[in-house]
Amino acid sequence: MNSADLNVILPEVFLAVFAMLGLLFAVYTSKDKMGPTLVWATATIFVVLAGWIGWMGEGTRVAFNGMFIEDSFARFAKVAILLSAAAVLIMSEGYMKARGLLRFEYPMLIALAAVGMMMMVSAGDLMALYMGLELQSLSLYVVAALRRDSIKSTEAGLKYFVLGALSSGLLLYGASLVYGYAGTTLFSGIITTAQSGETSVGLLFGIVFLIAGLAFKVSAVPFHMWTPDVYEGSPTPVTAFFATAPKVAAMALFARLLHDAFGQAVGDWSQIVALLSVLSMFLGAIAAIGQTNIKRLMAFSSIAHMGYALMGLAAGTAFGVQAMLVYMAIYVTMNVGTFAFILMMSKDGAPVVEISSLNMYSRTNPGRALAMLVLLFSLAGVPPMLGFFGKLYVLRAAYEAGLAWLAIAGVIASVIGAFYYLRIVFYMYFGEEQSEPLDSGGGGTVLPVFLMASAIIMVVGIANMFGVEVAAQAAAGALVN
Amino acid sequence: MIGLEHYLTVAATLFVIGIFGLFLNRKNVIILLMSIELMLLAVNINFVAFSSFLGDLVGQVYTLFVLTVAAAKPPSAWPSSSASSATAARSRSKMST
Repeated sequence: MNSADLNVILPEVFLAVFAMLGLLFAVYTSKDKMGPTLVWATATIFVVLAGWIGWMGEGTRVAFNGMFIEDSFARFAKVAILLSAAAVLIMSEGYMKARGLLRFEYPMLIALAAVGMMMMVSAGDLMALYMGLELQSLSLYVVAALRRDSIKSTEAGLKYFVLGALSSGLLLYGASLVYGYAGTTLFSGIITTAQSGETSVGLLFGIVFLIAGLAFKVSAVPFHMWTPDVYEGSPTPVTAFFATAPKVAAMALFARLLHDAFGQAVGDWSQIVALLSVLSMFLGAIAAIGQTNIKRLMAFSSIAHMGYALMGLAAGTAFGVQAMLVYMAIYVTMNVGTFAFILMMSKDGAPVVEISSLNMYSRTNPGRALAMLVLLFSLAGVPPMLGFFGKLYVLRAAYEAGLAWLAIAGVIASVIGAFYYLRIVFYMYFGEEQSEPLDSGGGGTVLPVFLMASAIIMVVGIANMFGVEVAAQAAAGALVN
Repeated sequence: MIGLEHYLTVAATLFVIGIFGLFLNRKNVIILLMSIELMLLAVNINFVAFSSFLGDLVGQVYTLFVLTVAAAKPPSAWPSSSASSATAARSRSKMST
């Protein structure tokens, strides 16, 4: 270890030190009263770090003998993670404070999870991968059970813990097999082993276990069963967090592992990823139809969206990775807006999650209903909105890689999925009259701003994606060569 | 003569027992933690066996990291498990009064 290595991981070190100092500081001063201050401080630091990483970083730097890679791919993912985490933190402040949930540990755990996610996307070694993944998961297990007086929340935390531990067990077993058959844990070493001739059976088993472990983290079918329960049971701001930053991190880690370590064996893993993708798209689209709880619906929606993102990965090309990154960036933006809307759903100050409560919402609050309409159209992939272009990207990547059947399946699943998004629109505009409508105001100033900004991006983004496309292209070029 | 394959078989068996323990047990959080530990230690056997077979120390270093994380896991499950038993106890006492 020398100063050059430390220089590369400076943002991570900075954030980790901040989290520890914040914990100490809050314990020695006024504890939970520091909650709002720490939330804002953490969000500010996230934004500052995102700027630092996004604009200062150049080229590819490798630290700790190849265990930590800082390239434009990692930078793209880190900026997306930090910005979405900052947005969710700011959104959660009002909601958590009103319900007495704003403990000082909350922002600090989110900060530690962010350190873990930044480690994940920069991992260049199976050990670094595991440590990053566990740092992120252990923080999130605790955050999921934040509301300790609610059986649903604690049950969600326990379920997430057990299935998360199972998934990291599978991942580790895969890592041990890869280590045994490749003789090294470094991605750059594994790829040279895979290069020389056929992939051995042991290595293949290792890949399958690693993919299964990571599929848990991105909640791809058949490893999705924790998602609806955890989304429903956790406090809504925590659900919003689960749906954004960790998904980007896990997806980026997926791409990093498959291309950096097994880039020479695309034929071996492409089919597995394509299978995960097609199952996720269809299950997400079909199972969401019967949902009455909007948080459960968003869980199935995110399963379906992960299916589309995996489609880009299944292509196994640089364009596929680019499509996946663009898709994830759009997905995160949409979800931040949608969850801002869900956080504002309340009746007499108490949160409401029933979809039927949205009946004729357009009459009590036309502005928010319109913004939500734009977001739902975008989530469904209806052409004028940005969500459509995200889907178009991954479909094109799959088609160009010779996976035409996967692209066709994606289109069919998207048509089925449109039903449940449009049903919410139907409720809002053409539903039945309600005797007790939802509160028309509320949510402070922060939540409407996020909702509107996200909806506006979904429309304006068609003309100009704010450089996301170019950045994603550079990122994919750094990963696949 | 005990070779690599024997170690791998033992590790695979322990790993499967751990998974079964996780799914068959529905009542006790402690048993859940034991099953998770069993899975992680099975992986450790794999790592140490490969490490000795390859004559490479990285596997043993990995084992130390796995052990450290395994030690950190039960505390992170504590908020959810202790609270769920506490809320269950509270609702039970409400029922009796």
